[in-house]
Amino acid sequence: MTAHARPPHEFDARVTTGLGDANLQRSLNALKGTFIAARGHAVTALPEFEALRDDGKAIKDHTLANLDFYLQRYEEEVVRRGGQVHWARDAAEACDIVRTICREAGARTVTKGKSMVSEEIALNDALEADGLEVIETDAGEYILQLGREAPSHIVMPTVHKTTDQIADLFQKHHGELGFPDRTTDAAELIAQVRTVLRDKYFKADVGITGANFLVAETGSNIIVTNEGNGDLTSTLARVHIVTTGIEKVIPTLEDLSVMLRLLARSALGSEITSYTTLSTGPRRSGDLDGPEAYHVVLIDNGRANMLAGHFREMLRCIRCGACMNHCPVYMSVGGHAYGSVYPGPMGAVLTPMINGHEAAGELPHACTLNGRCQSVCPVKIPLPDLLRRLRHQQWEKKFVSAKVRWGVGAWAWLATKPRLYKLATGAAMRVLGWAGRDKGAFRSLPLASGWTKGRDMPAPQGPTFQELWARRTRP
Amino acid sequence: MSLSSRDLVLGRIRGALNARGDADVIALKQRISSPPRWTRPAFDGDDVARFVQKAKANLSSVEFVATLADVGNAVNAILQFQGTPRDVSIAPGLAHVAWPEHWTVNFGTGRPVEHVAITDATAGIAETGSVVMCSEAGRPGGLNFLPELHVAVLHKADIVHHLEDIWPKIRALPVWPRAVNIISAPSRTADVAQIVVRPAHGPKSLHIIIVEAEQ
Ligand code: SF4
Repeated sequence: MTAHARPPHEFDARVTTGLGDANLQRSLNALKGTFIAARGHAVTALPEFEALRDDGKAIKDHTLANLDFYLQRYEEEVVRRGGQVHWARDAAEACDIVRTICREAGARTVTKGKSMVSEEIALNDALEADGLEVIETDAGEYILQLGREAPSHIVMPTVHKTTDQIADLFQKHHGELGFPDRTTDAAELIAQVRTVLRDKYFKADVGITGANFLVAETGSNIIVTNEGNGDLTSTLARVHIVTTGIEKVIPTLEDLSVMLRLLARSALGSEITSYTTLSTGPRRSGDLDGPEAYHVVLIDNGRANMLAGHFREMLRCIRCGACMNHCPVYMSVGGHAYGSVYPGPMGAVLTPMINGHEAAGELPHACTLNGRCQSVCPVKIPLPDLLRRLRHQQWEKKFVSAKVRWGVGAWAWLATKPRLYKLATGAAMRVLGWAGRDKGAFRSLPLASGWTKGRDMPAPQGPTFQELWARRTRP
Repeated sequence: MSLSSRDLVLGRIRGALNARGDADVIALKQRISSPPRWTRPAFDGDDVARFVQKAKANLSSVEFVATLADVGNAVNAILQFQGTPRDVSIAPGLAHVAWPEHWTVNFGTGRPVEHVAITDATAGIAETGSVVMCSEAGRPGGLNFLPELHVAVLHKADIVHHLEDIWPKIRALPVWPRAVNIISAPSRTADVAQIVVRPAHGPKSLHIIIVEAEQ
């Protein structure tokens, strides 16, 4: 997967693609319905949810204010229980550490549970370059790996894929594995994944998982899944490697209990996922299964620098995806439009921190400042405020021209207000057409060309946003 | 290289945080040994009834038996009903129980094809209807994930109120387990067009047998 091959500064071009993709629009609509309703239901069913949000924020704030202490305590506990901790300052070093562990283990086959941070550091590319067979085991990530695609959502990575597309992929790749017939039945497709991957778990030399949380008290990493793939990955490989950001640590199991209640409800609208697993070190003496070695790679990659100012708040993020599920821009253009591993509001804040302001381009402007993301964020991250600050910083550092800044922001705002858009159409299009004249970045901004047939012309013609919006919302 | 990166990352972190005195460190250690009591969801009524209701809502099935010795017959009835092969993996820690004689039993770790596995839980959680499995010599963790049908044996007395109430039980074990699996539902995915499919990689069915007798 080469998520990094897609420079974020081409946001506008991919927006056009996203808006024009009928399949994507259908999927996003379905996502919008299910996730928002499910979360709403789960939150209403728990009167303590608001209090838990305050607790969750307090837990993360306390931990971040003492991050060095808790990371060291965590490290001590991992080592005490027979595991090893590695520290990586950046993506390249993190990949090197994992490669070295694989090499020293004589590994050939690597299974992987879902890990956003492994996407962030482009781990698969690094391991494949070493000739390792790397197999994603989360059904969604597996599908994307077959298609050599990046996830478009941090919780539901395949939200942009249709059953037909998956059926084609499987026919192509599973034909010689005993599944010659094309099927569009979701259950049959998943049964194929189950069968194909079952032997891989047993064959794997190394199993890599992420961590939803790290608990300092016990030296445990916690993964939360519905599939059970993460557990088979971590239990059956000879070596278990955990790749994780340094901000995932929390002090104790009591704190973990709060975070778990917040995560499942915010991410999926569930009280709890099928599997919540605490892994702590390698197999104990006498254990019949479990890895012989347990490694944790603690990855900084821009995080420590966020501690110093306002952006520390972003480090509270527990990657639930609620902010993108409730973001009208994400829901209009899809995750790939952001061109970064982390899409939506959280991605728009995090990407400049990890990849630099320049690389993030206009992402901080792809926001209508409507505040919904903040109101659903389980750890109360003031996402609109952070985005505003980023815009300001970019403005000061002159990374973004006034035209881009104004243009993308105006588009994002207008694109989500069809009625107002109708009124503004003529003027806005003329202005944007003017703004785009000498600025390449504007060539394919949706207002200018997103819904015209021509891709390179900012002429205000073709179906209007209103029409597109109507087409999308009425199936 | 790794050592210097450790120092570098910790240095970056310390550079961004307020300096800490000895008293602060003592307070932080204190916070680990006696953490704050956070908000817990309030619910009334009988924990066992709540456990059953929650487990069923999560699509697990639940059955009561009088003693541990009755689990074999209960499972056998399911296998008979389903026409499942009597090839059963059982956590070695349950080897002392009398199991049906006509079963082929694997008291070991899980195999790539597992029809049925029987493992025993350290606790059940009334709040969520979850069973808590702790790996140890007699409880290989893989057995919880490999079978088509996972039978979790839970002693009624081990059902606790909140999630938090399992931590003291686990801390009381001789060693902290390599894996603590909080299992709340059968395996599922919605990664194909958001259609919920069961199972994904883990068990298709989770059957919880609650043993009434005191151990
Ligand atoms: S920013 Fe908040 S809502 Fe968005 S993914 Fe992170 S925790 Fe969830």
